[in-house]
Amino acid sequence: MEVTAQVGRDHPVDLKRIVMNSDGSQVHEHLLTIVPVSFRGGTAKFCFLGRSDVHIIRQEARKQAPSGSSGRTASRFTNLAMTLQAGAVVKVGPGLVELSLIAVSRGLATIKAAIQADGLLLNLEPLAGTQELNLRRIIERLNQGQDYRSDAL
Amino acid sequence: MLVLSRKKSETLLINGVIRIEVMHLTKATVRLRVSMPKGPQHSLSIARKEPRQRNGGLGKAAQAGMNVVHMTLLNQQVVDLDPAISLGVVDADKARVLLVVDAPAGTGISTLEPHDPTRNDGAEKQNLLQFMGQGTERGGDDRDKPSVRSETRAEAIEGNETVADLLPFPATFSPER
Repeated sequence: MEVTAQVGRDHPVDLKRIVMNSDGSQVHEHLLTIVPVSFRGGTAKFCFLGRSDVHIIRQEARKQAPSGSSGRTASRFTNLAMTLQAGAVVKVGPGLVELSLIAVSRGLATIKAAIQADGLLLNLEPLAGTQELNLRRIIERLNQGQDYRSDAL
Repeated sequence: MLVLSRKKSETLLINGVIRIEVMHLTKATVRLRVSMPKGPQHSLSIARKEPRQRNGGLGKAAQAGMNVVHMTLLNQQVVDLDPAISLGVVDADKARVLLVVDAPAGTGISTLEPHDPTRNDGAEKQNLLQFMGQGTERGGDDRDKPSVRSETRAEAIEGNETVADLLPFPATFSPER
């Protein structure tokens, strides 16, 4: 599934995995949150708040396998900031989502997310409040196993 | 699975052919207008066909081979748009509806914002002002800001500035520029 959408500053996009429990109930496992934090000219700075076992690799990167990537376990969330321009492709994986930045214009980034695995959930809902996002607070909540959205799925 | 919110008049386009527009929002319900190609693979069970126009003719969409239906969905209700694509409402209120789309790999989904006529009107107005000889404003992001560049052409040339957008109409372009 390919999703094309426009996101503005502080509009978070969440990637979650739907996990079925043995009793049949569903759990949404938070994997990654992508937030555009600033726009300058034709570039946009994105913050990738990813779980440690989620790889975030720019397509033009010299190393396609980050060091220690094979032995990482699902633990803490970290923030990786990238300044991207139109045409940039970021692979989220292994084998989860390929994120392309289609265009940056007037404080809006047009992104295309190609979901490459089953059982994933992409949440494009903007936050209700207009206040600036506190990324450190979001990471704290995610590390505690909570969701930063008050009406989280 | 995709979860996204839409406000009134915003649209969702699935595979370039199924168009879902939010027509009306109330607490816990949403009224959608779904247009999709006519065919056996596209059928909706919870839907009401768009009423015929008063002059008795078919709407433009119907003439173009499109099936247009209006549907009102409640929270947690799901409808199958075709055998592989389903659309559901997670939560609706007066401001926005949270939709969920479940579609197989290879499905293309895009969000369309409502057309904002003020931007184009502004651009047309800007062009008109320029041709009327008052075009001292600049296009782009600072279009709405008051212009501070009111010097004459000769002053601007002395300052080595580009003055193409400051020329009153009719303007004569010197060949060396």
